[in-house]
Amino acid sequence: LERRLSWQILASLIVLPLIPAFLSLLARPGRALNAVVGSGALLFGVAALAVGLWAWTSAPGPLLFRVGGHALDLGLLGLEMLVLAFLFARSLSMRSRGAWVPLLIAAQAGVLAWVELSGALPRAAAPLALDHLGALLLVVTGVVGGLVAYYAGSYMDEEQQHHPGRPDHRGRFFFLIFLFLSAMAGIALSNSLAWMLLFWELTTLCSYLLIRHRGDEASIRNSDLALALNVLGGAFFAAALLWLALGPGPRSLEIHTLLQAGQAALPAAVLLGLAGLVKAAQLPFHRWLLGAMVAPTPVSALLHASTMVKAGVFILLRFSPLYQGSLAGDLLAIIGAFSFLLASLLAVRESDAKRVLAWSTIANLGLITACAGVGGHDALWAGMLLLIFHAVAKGLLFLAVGTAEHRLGARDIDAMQGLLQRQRGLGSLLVIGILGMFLAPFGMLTAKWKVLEAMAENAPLVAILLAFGSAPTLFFWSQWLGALLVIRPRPEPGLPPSPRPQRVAMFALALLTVAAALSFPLISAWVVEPHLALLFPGSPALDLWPLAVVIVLAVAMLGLPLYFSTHPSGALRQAPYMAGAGADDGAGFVNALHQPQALRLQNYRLESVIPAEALGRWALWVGAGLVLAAALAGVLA
Amino acid sequence: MTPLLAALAFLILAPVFGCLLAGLDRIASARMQRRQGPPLLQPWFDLRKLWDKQAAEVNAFQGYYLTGFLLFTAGAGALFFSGGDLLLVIFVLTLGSVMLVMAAYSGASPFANLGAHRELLQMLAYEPMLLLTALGLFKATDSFAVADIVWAQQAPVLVLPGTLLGYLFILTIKLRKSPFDLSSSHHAHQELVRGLTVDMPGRHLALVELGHWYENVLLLGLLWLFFAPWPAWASLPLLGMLYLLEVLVDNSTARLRWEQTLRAAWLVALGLGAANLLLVPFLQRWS
Repeated sequence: LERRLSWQILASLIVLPLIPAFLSLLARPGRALNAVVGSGALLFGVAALAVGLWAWTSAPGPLLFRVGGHALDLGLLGLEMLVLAFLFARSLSMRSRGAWVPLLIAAQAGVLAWVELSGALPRAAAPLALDHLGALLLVVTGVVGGLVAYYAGSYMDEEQQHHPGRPDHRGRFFFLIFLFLSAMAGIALSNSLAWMLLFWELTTLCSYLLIRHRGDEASIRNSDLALALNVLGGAFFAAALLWLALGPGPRSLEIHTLLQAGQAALPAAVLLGLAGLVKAAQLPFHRWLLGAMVAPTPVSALLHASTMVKAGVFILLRFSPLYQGSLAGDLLAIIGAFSFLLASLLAVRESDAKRVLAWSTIANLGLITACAGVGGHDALWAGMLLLIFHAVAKGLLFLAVGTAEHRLGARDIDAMQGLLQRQRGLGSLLVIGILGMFLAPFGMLTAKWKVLEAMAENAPLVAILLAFGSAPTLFFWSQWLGALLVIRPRPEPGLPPSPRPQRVAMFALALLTVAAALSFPLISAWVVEPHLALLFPGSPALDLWPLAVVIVLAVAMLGLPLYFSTHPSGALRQAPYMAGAGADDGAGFVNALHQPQALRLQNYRLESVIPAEALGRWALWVGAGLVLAAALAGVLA
Repeated sequence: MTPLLAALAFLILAPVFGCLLAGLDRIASARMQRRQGPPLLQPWFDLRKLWDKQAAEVNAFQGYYLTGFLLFTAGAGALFFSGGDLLLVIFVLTLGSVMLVMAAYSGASPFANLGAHRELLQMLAYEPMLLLTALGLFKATDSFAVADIVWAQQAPVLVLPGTLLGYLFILTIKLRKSPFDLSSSHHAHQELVRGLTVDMPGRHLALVELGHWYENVLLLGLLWLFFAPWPAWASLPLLGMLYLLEVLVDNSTARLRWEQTLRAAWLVALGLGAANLLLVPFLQRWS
């Protein structure tokens, strides 16, 4: 029964998205292309979900698949060389970066070719593997990725209508989206580090080209930045391979073998973790993610919030058992906690909704990084749940901001004042997304609770950083929520409705956000605990009963609108307080010149207390210092 | 069964204690200002009067948010007094505060909006120290459960002197006392006398007041945890003295600006809360 899942099924998950990818290049933009995208997304999502459910309902522990031979490895090496050659050529045309980017790419290619061709490391006998954690990333990629791709079809149509002058590259856009989904499936299922590196660099490539998609000055500059930093991440990855080939540690390319080798494999695990930090946009590598916000919003939702950056924390969570209790692991945790604190503070300074979401993504990935670095049953539990909750809620928020941007013509948070009143559907979706990010009973809060408890026990310094970082997150989310909930006595004009595919995708993600919140004890019992029981035998499953009170309260809260809608208060309706100078039925006031003035409300940015530039410098220098320390602590361990 | 009874007892008795506390507070304040002060039960009379006022509202949602505020605040207290998890208590309490802020936001009045922003600033100021208090109590007693902390071997205050001072500092913010009464004040000495609640008439204000009674009892309960293992004859008078200290501070200081409040609270959290947390192992060995 165990072996009924053949490697062909697993490999087909990686190959499957390539079909719609190539069809996208052929289909005519518009209806035909969207049909390809929709069916491809549906197929991939269902397939990923099916394999994931299969994995979670069977016994935990990695299923290793012995496939391929030298021919396949050589073929993949050739592909990898092609990807690197493309990146190399592109990096030469960069304007602002130094020579180190092409040099690093060349060095990476050299290391990879030598490692694979010289036989310094034996080829991975089982390059594919499936376990509970891998299935988690696979399902997140398939379900969230599929929904975002489906949404993107309609979004890119609108984008084309808004800018009729721009050349139409929708086919290439969706080719890259599906290529990216394939690469993500590859990362989730790879057991061979050589295979994983190919998929890793493919996500770098897709991200680089998608950030550049609009082709304007800002897009080109930011895609260059993303490429430069992600090449650095790839170099860390290659350094790990080099250490495995030359160092005293285990000679193996297989992840699960390294995990079994324990402390002997720590240096490789730390180097791979540093590669993960870059992909997860942790300090000091965070700047590319902010820049990536110039890309079309579905790209931000898919790559830069819900999936690609998750590949970074995925590798950290994967190697977490090795980090546990080591100095390097503690340093990784501090990098994560430091990212959480600084990104949360800097999010307060932003008024652009997408940039707020980007900072918040860095912050939440920092939380997961901290969990992975500290390790242990409780921290990993929180880290894995955070990965799920963040993917659905942040995906939803990005999509809703994208739709709002197209309706409002702005993506400033202040422009979203009273959005719930102006378009109930879209407003509700944003509200659900925000609630999912910071309030009970949604998972982020649940996970944060466990993170703090786990850190209090093992890493007080990390706990302190988290205590300081959690207050600013409360601040900027509440402000945003408050802006959405403003009710004007005389409503502003409504907004045009959103296209159906966008509504469907957002509704599905909202449903998933709520469902994840309600079913997290099940997720914990089926997905997370079995995985952890294997890693930490003997440590008891988490007691979730204390949360019962919170859930009861929240359900009561959600039930209250029913009461309020069936029992109209019959109260006198009064105009908002304007200190006696109201005008236009409370829509404005009479100013000092005795003229009516429309009321405009704005959020606080705390410019006078949060020095963004100084914090940015800190982020770079302290971050760089911590990364260096972690690398040294790891390699010298 | 006992936790359930304790929670029920809190839900019924907390308003009584909260009301008496508010009455005593007003009398003590008055005496500090050389006034006679209102009768002890004045807060209760005020609440009744507010409740009997003609119902009015700025929108249909404000009542909902305020009911949520009351629900979560009372829920946090019930969780606390039934011996629950301290971090969860803080999270639920925070949830209640967010509901109060949403009630103010929804009104679209610039004054209420300003009050809401300032309330959020106050939360930004006190939240780190509040979490550090919970973390400190955990470090001192090895448990986040109130039920365990109460029965600890020694009083947490012995290893948490800094944390206690830090908590007293933010307690001033939480109790809406000067110099930190940014978002709404009982005194007429600031420009936004009732910023946060300016749009909340009659019954809504009564809900807010009731919520604060629950909240204040919970906050004093949290303060009591520092001395909980000591006998009642020692810990309760101490609690009363510390509360009087808060009233004294309230009456002898002028309101600060929000930047000052924020900086001061974070410095206190860093210098007292975080430092004490890291020093707990040494203090434990020493005491």
